Amino acid sequence: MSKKYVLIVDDDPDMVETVSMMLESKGFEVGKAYDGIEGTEAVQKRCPDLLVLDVMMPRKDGYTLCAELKKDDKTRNLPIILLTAVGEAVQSTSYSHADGMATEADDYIPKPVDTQTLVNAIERLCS
Amino acid sequence: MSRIRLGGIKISEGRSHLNASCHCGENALTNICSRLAANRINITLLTHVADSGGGHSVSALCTEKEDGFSGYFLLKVKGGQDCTVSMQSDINILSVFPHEQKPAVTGKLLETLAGNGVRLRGLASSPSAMSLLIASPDMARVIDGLFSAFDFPSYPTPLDWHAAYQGKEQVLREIICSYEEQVIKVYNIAQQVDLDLWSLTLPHLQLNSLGAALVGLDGFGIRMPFMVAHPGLQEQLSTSFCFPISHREEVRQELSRHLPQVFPVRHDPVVALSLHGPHFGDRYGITNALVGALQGAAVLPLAVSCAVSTISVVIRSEELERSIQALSGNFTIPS
Repeated sequence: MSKKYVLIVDDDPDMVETVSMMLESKGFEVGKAYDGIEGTEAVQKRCPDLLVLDVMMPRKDGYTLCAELKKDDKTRNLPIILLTAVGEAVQSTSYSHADGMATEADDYIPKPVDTQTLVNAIERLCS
Repeated sequence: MSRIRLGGIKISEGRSHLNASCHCGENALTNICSRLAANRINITLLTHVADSGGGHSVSALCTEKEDGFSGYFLLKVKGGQDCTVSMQSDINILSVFPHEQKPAVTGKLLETLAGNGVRLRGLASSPSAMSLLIASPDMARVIDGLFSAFDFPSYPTPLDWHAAYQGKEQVLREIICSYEEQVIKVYNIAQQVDLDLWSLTLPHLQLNSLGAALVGLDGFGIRMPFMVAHPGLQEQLSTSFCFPISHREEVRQELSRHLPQVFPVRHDPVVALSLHGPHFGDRYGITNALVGALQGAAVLPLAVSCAVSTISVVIRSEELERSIQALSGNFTIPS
């Protein structure tokens, strides 16, 4: 059986590295992009089985990319997990949790991410 | 050798760079970190080596530019006579990624700086990125040099990169969050065991040779999980890096071939621990929590790198279990 291909889009390169090492150890093939525009290009080049998308990124944020992909017939069914620092531990940010809930993302996980929660969500959405 | 493909470049502009050289002591780094944390001064980048030669430890760190003088005062006045402190403002942190632990990436970076006559002010690795400290006036030359040495598929030319980067720093600053956790959460602690820690001091003019040695080591397929560099004594550059013990002979040969006048010091066996967490580079006090936890367990970090959103610490192998226990008691770590 071929490996599921997961694309990670996050402007924190250490986060991309950490999540990709974790997913590779679980048997996933991983692609990497470092902002929303690179993420768009990466999806066009090779559509993943699942997209892990950070919210707060320069150039194009995760909400925008998520909305674009969900509007496009070709990518409407692509499962998307949004990761965001908007959570209980965050005291100040220009983003709100409500914005995230209004998108059509398939799951929404607040940072700091519990790695097992993320893996469980990916396995559920990829099955 | 074909050009190496990289994912991107990230720049943090307008930093102050503080360099503290102290008599080797168990508490030098803890003292520095605790003073800055108590005054809510964030460390955006840190390099530390417990023994940089001559019985001195060196800790170099970046703060926001406006915090530089306060930081300098805290280190200078409260550090006592045993501590020599210097400060340089208008420093930028330039991070390229991903390096995938390939020494050729760092080697080519160093050769690029040397080839363009740019002085390296400091260097710190994280699991994904290699961060260089560059004086602001040198930045344009460095960016142009990087595009000659590496391929950036997302940005074919420096002009494309500049166009995409314009305003990015401002956005990055706006999306910085403030966390107020009771216990700091980390995503994971990664450990790489069975390593040698090599330390050497060299004149700035030999930066190109150090780069060539690292490029040469890449030819053996060796990975380099940790590296720091900062100003050493007598206007030299002090650097420390880790390679697997199993490749000790290749490392010795390449260093000897390219830097015959330089005599490296080696610690072994060592372990490199990396703690990665959300916005670690944006939040004060995290490095202090780490070194305080280790000090409480009587563990002396041999070398430390704090860059991007990761803190990496090199310890003696026999202290691994004690260190993990200490960190587990002071950070929330997923099982």
